[in-house]
Amino acid sequence: MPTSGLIITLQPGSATQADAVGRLRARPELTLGEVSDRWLPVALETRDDAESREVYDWLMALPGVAFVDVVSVNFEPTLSLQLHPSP
Amino acid sequence: MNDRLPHLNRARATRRVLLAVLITAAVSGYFMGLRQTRSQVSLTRPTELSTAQVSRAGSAPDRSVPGIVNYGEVNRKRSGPNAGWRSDLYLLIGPPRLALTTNAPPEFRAAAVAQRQLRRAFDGAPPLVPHPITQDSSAACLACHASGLAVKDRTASKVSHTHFSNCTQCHVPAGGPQIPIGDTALREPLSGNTFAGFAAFGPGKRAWPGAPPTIPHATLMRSDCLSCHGPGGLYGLRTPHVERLLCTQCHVPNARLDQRLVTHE
Amino acid sequence: MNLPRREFLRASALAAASAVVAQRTGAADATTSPAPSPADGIAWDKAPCRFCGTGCHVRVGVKDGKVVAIQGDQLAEVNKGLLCVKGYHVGLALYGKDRLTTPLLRKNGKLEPISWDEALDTIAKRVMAAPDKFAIYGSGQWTIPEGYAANKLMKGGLSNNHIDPNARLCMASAVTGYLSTYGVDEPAGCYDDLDACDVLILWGNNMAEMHPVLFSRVIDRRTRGQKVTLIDIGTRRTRTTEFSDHYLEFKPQSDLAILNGIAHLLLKNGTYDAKFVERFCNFRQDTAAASLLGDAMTFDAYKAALEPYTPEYVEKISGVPAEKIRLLGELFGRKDIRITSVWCMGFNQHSRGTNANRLCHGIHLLSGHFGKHGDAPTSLTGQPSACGTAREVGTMCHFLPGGRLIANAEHRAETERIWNVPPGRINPKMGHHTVLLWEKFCTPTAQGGDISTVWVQVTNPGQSLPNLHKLFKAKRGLPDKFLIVSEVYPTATTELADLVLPSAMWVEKNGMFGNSERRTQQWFKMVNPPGEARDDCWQTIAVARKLFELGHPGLKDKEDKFLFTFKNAAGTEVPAWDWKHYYDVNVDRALFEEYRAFSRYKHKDLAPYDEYVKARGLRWPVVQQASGAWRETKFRFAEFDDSYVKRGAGIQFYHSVTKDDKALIWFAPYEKAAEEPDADFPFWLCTGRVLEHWHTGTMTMRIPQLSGAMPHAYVEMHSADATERSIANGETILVRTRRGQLRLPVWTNGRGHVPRGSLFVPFFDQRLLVNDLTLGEPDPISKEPDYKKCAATVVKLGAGRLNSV
Repeated sequence: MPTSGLIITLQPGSATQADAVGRLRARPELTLGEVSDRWLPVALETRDDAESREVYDWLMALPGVAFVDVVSVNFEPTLSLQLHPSP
Repeated sequence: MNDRLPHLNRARATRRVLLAVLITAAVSGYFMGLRQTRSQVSLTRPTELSTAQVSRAGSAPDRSVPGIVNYGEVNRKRSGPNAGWRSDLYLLIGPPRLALTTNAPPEFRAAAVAQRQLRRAFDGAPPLVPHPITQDSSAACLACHASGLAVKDRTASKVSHTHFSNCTQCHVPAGGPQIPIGDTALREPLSGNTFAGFAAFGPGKRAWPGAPPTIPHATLMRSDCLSCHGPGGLYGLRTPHVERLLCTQCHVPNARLDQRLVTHE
Repeated sequence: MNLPRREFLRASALAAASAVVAQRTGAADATTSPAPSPADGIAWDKAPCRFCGTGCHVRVGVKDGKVVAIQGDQLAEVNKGLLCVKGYHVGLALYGKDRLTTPLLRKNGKLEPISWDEALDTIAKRVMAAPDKFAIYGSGQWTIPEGYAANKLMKGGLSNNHIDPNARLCMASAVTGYLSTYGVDEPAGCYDDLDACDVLILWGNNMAEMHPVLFSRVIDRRTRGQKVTLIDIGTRRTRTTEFSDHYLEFKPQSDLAILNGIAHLLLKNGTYDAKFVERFCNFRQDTAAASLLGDAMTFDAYKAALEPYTPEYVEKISGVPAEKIRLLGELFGRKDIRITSVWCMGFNQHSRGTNANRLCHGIHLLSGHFGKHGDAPTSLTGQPSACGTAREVGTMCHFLPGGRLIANAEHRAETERIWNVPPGRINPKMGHHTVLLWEKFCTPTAQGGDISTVWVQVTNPGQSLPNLHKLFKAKRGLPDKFLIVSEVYPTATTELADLVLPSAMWVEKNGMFGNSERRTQQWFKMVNPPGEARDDCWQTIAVARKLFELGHPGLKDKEDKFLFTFKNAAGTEVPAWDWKHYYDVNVDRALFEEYRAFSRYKHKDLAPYDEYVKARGLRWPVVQQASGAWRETKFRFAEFDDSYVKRGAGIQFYHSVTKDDKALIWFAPYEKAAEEPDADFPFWLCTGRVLEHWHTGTMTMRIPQLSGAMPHAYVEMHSADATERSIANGETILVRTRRGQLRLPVWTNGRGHVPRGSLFVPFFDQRLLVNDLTLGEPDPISKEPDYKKCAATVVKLGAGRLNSV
């Protein structure tokens, strides 16, 4: 279950910014921080890498989002990767 | 007279075979010529066609003139003059590319950068296509460039960016569409151009000798680092540690080049 | 994983991200113009691309006074960092070796260098000698301030309406289509529709080559796993066809029948949007002569008129199988999908272009596929400021700025008020539209050719006009005709010019463009023009000043002040007509702020200049909010986005022709083309563009990467047609029409694939002028010529000659 810290660079213009932030807020996997200037820090929790990628692509395509930077990623071992699965 | 006959026959037979070989070579050469262009690698080759036939003809005078085999059936039909002619695709696979263990010497890096410049108006411009292309389809590009195909000494570089499917939107053939025109003066440009593009942003900076260098170029359209820095890239640009997959863990991109920060410096 | 641990991870991830943001804040705003970095010495600044109407933003890298690199601008919503091959190489357009660097006057048949002062004098004297025989022929590549200055000089200064742009050849029919449907020009939707539509219909539009960045915006959705159905309705297979789910190949001109066939099916199947039509639409047709606003018709009469257009009948006319027509009818009948239609020159350069536009709007309105993101009929433009300058500034022979009409006394009065000129200054008589203007210029004065001097800016009519022998080349040898051309390179037009003025281009000057989606864009001058080349806007103002000095009364306003007076921040007048002082004040800013006053009337509200400096373009109407912020509009007439729509209205066509907030659904019949193939001329001849070259190629043919990729024009021919005539690929043949003939190399099975009986020739090559052949039959309403249809024949040259290399 990866947990990532992202910085979302928003497009300038208060209307588009507000629009984008609204849409971001609607995604349950995102936890939003405080918008500062054009940047919005968020935490992202996903099931797996594929989902992370999906959310990343969604973010990049979102109107009002100029760029997404990945600041940190934390990988938790998933069940299938446990070293000694019980028989 | 009698003892001269077999000699004459043999000479006639040899001539016949030679003629057949010549015609076959001419005809197949013609078709090959149609199919191939200068910068393409030969994907099929006649396996010692001429020499084998000639020597065999010498020892087996009873062989008649072989029939023509349909070009499309060459690979399936194992008879006639083209019996030994097949596509040897396995021969074309390049030697395994070994990852480097140390950085390439600086002169190789310079050579690699110079080679990149040949096909780009400036650092960051989409490279021109150095070979003829299919004019109406992008699928053909991806056949080789999607995964980065290495064929003999040629490498079709792997696309360094994702999800763009209209290849010819940005990459156009340097040699043009190669319409076989008579009036070749039409291929001459209207005028020269004095543009001098910015050659290269690199090399990246190191905080101290041995520190990981920063990324000296924009990462837009260059999201797959291994396209250039992997084993399929130009020798001078290859990384000595291809096994480490998270490039940006150590090599940081430049915010200014990536258009995230434009500061008054 | 237990919850507290997740909370902790989430919190630390957010903290890490927040810490970085905190560091960044306070760093300079990315939208302000940058200074060079000490590291590589490159200064980056934003500009819209010089070429097409898409309006991509590029970042221009400048070092030591030269453009050295180009990047796609990631902050730009239009292109999000992506460009096409022309855009990536746009910086090279400045550096062709044969740039014009000094004014040239034709003396004894040869162009000889002269001084700027002599050049300006020459123009001013010709204008003074015959002010009403002077015309300006401009362009959709004029920046907004350039077009505005020229318009003001002509209409407000010289009381002369003979000013028209090349946009007449390009999107005049789109304008009449919008005006006669909605009562106001330009698309309701925008490019965002491309992100939201389920079905994209390309009407005679090779988007993959002509608007590649927009095309990628659509097809890249597929790579992201979205489904979008592409329907290519065209007369030849192109690169666009390769990406399409359906390809409907129709016989030239029969698009009118297909559009009617869709409307027929919507009515027949009862799948039209009765509620939408009832609330928001009226019906129209041209009963007697073709006119912009036509005559009212009832719904029943509309139904009856469409009755004959059964799928089978449409198949007979168009060659498109009836089941494909049914497919279109069914798609438009569905309420669960969103349909966007796009078109460009296929509809516009059409002898019934206005009708093609009207019918396309009509099927969207009839089916209710309008007013939601992804549900829109949208025309694309070919030039970077066809919308911003030609249409909005109104540099056409019948327009005044901001959608006003010369024919309307109130509009004239209002314009005179804003320009502060005496009442009656503006001539109430419409000027000559493009085709007429050139016809009059090429006709001897004694035979009624009432235009004697034409000043061409930012365009190349010697290559782009149709039927060049008649409309351009006939000027040769007419003694009292004088052609002035402001250009950056020698062109087919400068060949006949009597006076050539070297111009600054693109980032060698300040500028503003307006793209296809109502987006107004701004950029600053970044490098100096070569030699004595100077801004077109300066040229206009300098000529105006000469006229003022020569005592032309029109160059004075009501207070006897010069029409183009500029003040700096301190309030001191700056003599901008003097080149040394032109950049002492931002002339663009001053002209734009004046022009902005015109923009409210048709609700095309523009924001202050400084807002555009910060933005990567803003889509009008840009409306100021209570907070003071400026908000752009993505979908006009729709309540969800357009703040001018009354609350609760849903949709409101507030410039309705019928004054009842309703749009007009038009009926127009299928009519045959002006010239169709016959026994003598058995081929259809179509002209157009290619990916690598922009319009007449004056810029792109000088960019080695582009001219190398597409070095010359050709004629596309079906291989069976070629075989029948023993014509080989690459062989030079003669293509002949009733207007001229041209030797062209044949390209079969090349990039595009014409059907049998058709030819296609691109028009970018100045050595192979296909417009020597075109008919250019104008649309009766928009006066836009048809470049896509005329009859031609081919002749094999010298039998047995070996033509291949």
